[in-house]
Amino acid sequence: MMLDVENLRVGYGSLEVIKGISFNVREGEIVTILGSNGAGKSTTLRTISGLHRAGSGRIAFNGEDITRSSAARIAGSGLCMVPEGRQLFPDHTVLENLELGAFRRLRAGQSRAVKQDMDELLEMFPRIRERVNQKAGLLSGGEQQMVALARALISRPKLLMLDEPSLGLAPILVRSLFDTFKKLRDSGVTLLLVEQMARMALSICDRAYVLESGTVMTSGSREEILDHPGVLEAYLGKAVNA
Amino acid sequence: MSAHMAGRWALSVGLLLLVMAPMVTPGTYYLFMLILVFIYSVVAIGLNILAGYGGQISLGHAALMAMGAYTSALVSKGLEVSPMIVASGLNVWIGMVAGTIVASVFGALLAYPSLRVKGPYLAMVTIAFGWVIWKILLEWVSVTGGELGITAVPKARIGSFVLTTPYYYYIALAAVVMAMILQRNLIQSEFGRRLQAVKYSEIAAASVGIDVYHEKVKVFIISAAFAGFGGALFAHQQNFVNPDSFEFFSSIFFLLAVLFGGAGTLAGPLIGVAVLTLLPELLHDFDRIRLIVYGVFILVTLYVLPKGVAGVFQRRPGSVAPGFSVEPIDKNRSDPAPVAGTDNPAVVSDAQSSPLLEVQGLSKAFGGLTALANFSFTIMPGQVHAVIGPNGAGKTTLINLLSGFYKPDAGTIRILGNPLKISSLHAAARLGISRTFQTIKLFGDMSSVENVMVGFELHSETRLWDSLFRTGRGRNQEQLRFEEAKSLMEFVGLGDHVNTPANALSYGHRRLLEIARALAVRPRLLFLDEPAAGLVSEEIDTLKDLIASLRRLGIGILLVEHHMDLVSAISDHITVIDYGQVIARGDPASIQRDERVIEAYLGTTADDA
Repeated sequence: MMLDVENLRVGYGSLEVIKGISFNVREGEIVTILGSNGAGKSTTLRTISGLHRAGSGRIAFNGEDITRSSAARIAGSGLCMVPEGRQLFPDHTVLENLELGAFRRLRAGQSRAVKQDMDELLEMFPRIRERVNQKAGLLSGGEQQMVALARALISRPKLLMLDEPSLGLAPILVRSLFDTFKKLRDSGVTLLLVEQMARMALSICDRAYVLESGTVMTSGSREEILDHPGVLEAYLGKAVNA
Repeated sequence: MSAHMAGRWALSVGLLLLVMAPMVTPGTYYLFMLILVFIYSVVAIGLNILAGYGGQISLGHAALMAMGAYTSALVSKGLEVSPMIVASGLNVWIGMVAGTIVASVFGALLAYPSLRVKGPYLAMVTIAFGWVIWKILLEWVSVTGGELGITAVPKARIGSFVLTTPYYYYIALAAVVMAMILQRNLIQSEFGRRLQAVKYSEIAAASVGIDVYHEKVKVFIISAAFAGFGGALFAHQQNFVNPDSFEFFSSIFFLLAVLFGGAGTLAGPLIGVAVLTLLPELLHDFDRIRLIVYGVFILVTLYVLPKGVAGVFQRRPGSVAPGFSVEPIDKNRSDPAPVAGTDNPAVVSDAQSSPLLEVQGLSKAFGGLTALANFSFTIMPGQVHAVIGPNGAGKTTLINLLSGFYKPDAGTIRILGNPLKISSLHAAARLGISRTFQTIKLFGDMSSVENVMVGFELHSETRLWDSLFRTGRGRNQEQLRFEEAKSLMEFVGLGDHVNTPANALSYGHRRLLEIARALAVRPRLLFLDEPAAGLVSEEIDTLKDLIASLRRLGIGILLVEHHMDLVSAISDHITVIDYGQVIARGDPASIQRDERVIEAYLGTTADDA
């Protein structure tokens, strides 16, 4: 088991947001967490990556307990998150932002491999290639989202957690993005995906968990979830035309 | 017993003890110390309003206090030539009023030029101001008495009755109680909400029509008045004033007291001043290492309690905002009353046939990069016009141009036939333009309903006077605004989150809250920048209905959105741009068939809509 979350509880002050959830992610899988706004999806990811303290419960990454580890340590062990809302270094150029993402690999002397990955990433996001020497803060919202993704990918994470990666991206890009996720999975990266475009997420994932008010309402393989009438109704919209 | 009741009890008991203190304290030394605590607290409360709630750091408050002290000393001494005034004892009280006014005037003189800058720059300017005033006090010997200062400052009197220390104690106590009440009234009013809104996001505050710069100047003047009044009280307690009391270190002391007690809390300044004034007295036994112990104590406290002492008792998320009677929300009520009100410009404007917004030849470049080129379009009342296009095509630039955030390089913008000149950020809201932001800009940990209430800025009839003294009119207005804001929140589907702090809302809900706030402006034109980002499909359906009912009210809507389901369902007209150029326009059906649009934006396969 790559990621194992057991009976996790998280709160803000007196308000409990995550009320004892358990789930896991196996190596080489794409797992998606669905749920409406306020269900606790982002909080779950933030807690796993060490940005928020767990109230109780246990989080293990590759068998190692990381429940109380610092965010930097967790990221260093290969568990990387792309946060909702970009969070780039606005005064640095796009290229510098990407190099910061590769910081650990560059320090380990993998500059040739980093360069190759960089080329591949820029291939994937041609819009960024045009702006590689511009300050990240001057990019449009969607372009910043692409840079944030590229910055996470270039660190070659073992497990990549994505919080709403499609946010603000044009439809044509959303498609290529999800194709990229599939390619990443095939190249050995494990993905944990929080996404409001549930249909998109379900089209590429292996398994899904559905959160509701801080608890796991249902879970199962992609097919099981797609057959689940309640989920279809609530998260996929009624006008299904796919 | 609720925390609120417990707080009231503690307050009453504390006040009673303070009232009784002169009767039980032997000698005047401790009374003297307590008077100092009260006087410093008045100054610190003023600084707390400015720095704690307003986020503007001043390191020149001792100088403002000096203005009050010197003015009051000079005026009250000067009036001693008139026997009548001396007999009534009015000279001192007149001096205090004069001191407060002069400090406010100097506050204004300092604020107008220096509030154009912010953050560390403002702090620097106030430090310089403090130095200049201090130097003037030292050098202008003929007026200020130089290093020796002004001696024989008259004692406060009522008629011929001299208010000696035990009596002056009550004056100082009354002053601090009054300062506390005024602080509470200000903060828990429209003024306080605006103040905090500016602290959290100047851009968002301007977008609902708040004149950010004047708001900051106003609070600085109020803060200076508190400092001046404290200074005047100080002059007549000490009976002499000299520059020593108003050195740079005193300004630091006040800021430290506010931070230590808890910046942005009502009790913070009082607690901070009390501890920092009385502690050195209690540490007499430590003798030579006294100041070291004092410093370490402050350091450790601020390390352990980063929000200050009073921060520990702050209200928790989810608790009720003070000052409002909150009854359970009636779920059946969903009429958009506030939007449909008779004073809604959108409804009043019956010019259904003439365009709300006309844009012609609009262009904008950043450096050599064309963000928008020769862009033209119109929005009729009750029309939804969507602008779509690849990332970086210039969509947000368009909204920023139309709402006054950028100046166009070329082109004309007409609203209801009148050429539009948007001179400042807050001017757009006055013209009936309201917007949401792609990167959400809400007012931090203010409750959701308060966020919406800030949006009523332009429609408020509350004066500063009403806030300061909690007039009946002011209270009625508040309750009315609260009800209106609540129904706006119900209208966008956030009825269950009225008292949730804005930053505790989930991403999608924050977007809806921004829409509610934008509607509070009662716009003719609403610009929505990716409103559906982060919403699940159920919520997008709600958003669809929401936009449909806004359209029925005659509001013109400019929609920038990637969610094609929403765009095609709700738009009357779509313009597609790429690299700042229009590549297609038309109704939703024709746009979805357009080859260029499919190639540049939608993608070739249509298996996922």
